[in-house]
Amino acid sequence: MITRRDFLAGAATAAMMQQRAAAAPIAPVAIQRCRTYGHGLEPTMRRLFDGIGGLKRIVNNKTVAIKVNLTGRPSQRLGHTPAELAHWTHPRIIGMTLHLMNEAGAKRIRILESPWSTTDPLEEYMMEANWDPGLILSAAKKVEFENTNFLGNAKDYSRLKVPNGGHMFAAYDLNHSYADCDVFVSIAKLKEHATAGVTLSMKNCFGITPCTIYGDGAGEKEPSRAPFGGRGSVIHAGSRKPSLSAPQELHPDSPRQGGYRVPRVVADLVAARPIDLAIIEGVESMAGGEGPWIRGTRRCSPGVIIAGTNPVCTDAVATAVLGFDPKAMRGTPPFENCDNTMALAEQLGVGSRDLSKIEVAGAQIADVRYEIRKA
Amino acid sequence: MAQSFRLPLRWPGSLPAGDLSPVNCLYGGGEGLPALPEAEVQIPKRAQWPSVRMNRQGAAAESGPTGAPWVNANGWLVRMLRFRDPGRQVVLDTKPAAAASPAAYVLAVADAMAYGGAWVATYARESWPQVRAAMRFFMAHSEWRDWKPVSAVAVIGDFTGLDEANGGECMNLLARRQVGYSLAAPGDLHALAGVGAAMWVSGREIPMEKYLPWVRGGGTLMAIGLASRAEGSGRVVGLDASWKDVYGVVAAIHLALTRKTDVLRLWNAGSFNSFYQVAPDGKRGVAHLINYSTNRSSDDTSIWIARPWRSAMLSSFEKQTSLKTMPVNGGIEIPLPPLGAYAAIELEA
Repeated sequence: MITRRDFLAGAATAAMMQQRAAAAPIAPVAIQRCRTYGHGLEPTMRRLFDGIGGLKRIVNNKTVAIKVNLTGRPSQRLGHTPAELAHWTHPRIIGMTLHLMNEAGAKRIRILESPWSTTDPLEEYMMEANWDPGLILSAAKKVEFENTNFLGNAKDYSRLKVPNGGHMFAAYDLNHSYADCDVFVSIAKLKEHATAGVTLSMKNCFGITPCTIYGDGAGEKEPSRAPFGGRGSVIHAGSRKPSLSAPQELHPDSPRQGGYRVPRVVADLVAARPIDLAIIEGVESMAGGEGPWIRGTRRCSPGVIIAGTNPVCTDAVATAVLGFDPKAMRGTPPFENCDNTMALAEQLGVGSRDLSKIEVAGAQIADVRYEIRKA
Repeated sequence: MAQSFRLPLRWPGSLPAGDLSPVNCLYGGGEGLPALPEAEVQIPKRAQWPSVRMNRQGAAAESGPTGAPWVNANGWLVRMLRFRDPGRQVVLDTKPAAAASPAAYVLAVADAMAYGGAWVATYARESWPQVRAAMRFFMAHSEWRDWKPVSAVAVIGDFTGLDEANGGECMNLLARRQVGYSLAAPGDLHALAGVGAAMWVSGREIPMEKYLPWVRGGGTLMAIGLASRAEGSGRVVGLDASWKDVYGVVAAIHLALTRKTDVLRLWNAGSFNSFYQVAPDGKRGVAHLINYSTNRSSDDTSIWIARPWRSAMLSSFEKQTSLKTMPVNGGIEIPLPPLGAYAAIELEA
């Protein structure tokens, strides 16, 4: 039963979230049409970054951590399509970003991902997909890879607190790489998502949670040594707790449903580990879901790259490019079965999804709109 | 010598009507063909009916730590027994379940014959045409039995006693990762020619002095319990693993090798094992693809082979198809049509 006190507390929280949403920061977003990963990529990406004020102001003399999207297993493809042409960030996009960051004075660049169920180095994971990691390593002066699905090279996990409290957890225990950097970049793929509606620069950060703590095989009291399986039981379904060494759920009586939980965790994560640069690549992609394991998925070619310094603004523009309304709420495409991650991040004060306030540089949304549900 | 290769049929009574060739002997009694000379062949008790291992309810495939299904495969066993006693042919005596499909029978043929062994054929009217076609296919390519495996690592052991248990499981799991391997006897340095790495599975102490010249020349020698160090152009690698967890040993081997040494890679092929061989003159090769799920794959399988072969042909028991190859990472990548229980990719330089 809800008491009067509960009701008043809830109303106060809602009002506070509304206030934060109204005051959420806004930053310009750049869009560039891009049909191939070939020779035209360099000038296109230069224009893209120029559209948001250039890379120098963001990365000069900084240690940069870049979370890429290598979701699923490297041995799984959408039909015959190599992962980078469907559900993974393309290595040419990663390499070109590194090259341009190097030019802009980045001191050190670390490529991060939490690969499926392994402590193997990222290089090995990439080779399994038939990538040559040497091309990424040689794209800038000081490049490193780190598998962030476990403790990795550090002695301890880093605890990152969610400002303003958080929707699901007040803090998250993450691999040190997400704390040991000056600038955090999310390079995502422009895709739909079976659980979260869309997966863009923010949803890409779902994978920063180590499965040793938040995975199906996480240790009960302490993190396991190695990750096992995905995040289905802890985060999607809430059928078990993360390792007790980590902060526990704020509201254990909240719905045990992926469409409720995943967007909230993502909003928390991008509040706890702010994204300084969001890059969403949709030169080639897939429609109908985030990976080949989703039924009915198919290849598509949106032919576009989007970037911005605020992930909510950038995702809002990307959502509109895909033919959806970033202000859509649960029950409305693409959020038929889930809450809108952008709205939840907005409530935490991360950024605004109000397209009327977001300045778009380069191509305009209408010029590049790609209705992915029709692809 | 194709004629001396025994292809037995399990048939206790008088022979069924129709063409039984290339079957040439009977196992377990029966009349009408000579009996399989059991003393001249090896019939391992450890052979298993080849399949994807199902859970106890039989409703879903069991899977390992990577999510790939467990398979009951005999390739490692055939290769180990052939290595141990090359003069005696290996024959797998495994019996199908009552409900086994024709594709399951074909898988049993391929699971033995792709590795140079034979299966004691079980006659069932509905599956016999496919079983015959499969056996005839392998008999027509009998030269493959003597082709060399393309390997990233040599597994060193004498494969008896504990060596057999550790080495055998190690080979079984290397195959699940599509890691090409060969076998070598302890102290046999000739067997390491052309192989970049070797894994000591023998329970005996390593005669390190004997191997050091090979290591210093660029080889990687791996074993559990060694101290890792560089030696000349090569290295000695002590694996951080225990034989109590052979999966962990094999993962550590693959990591020490690095996937740079992969001889082939497969996509959408979780229930497949591969066996890649090259002719003595190096001008032809074959990659056997054995699908333990037996279902014609609904996912599109792709393969990458580290060597840039000039042409590739897909041979199934029914037909041959020319394959389109694409140069990728110094090798070739090939999108494959839907595959059944077995296919061979025949390669030409």
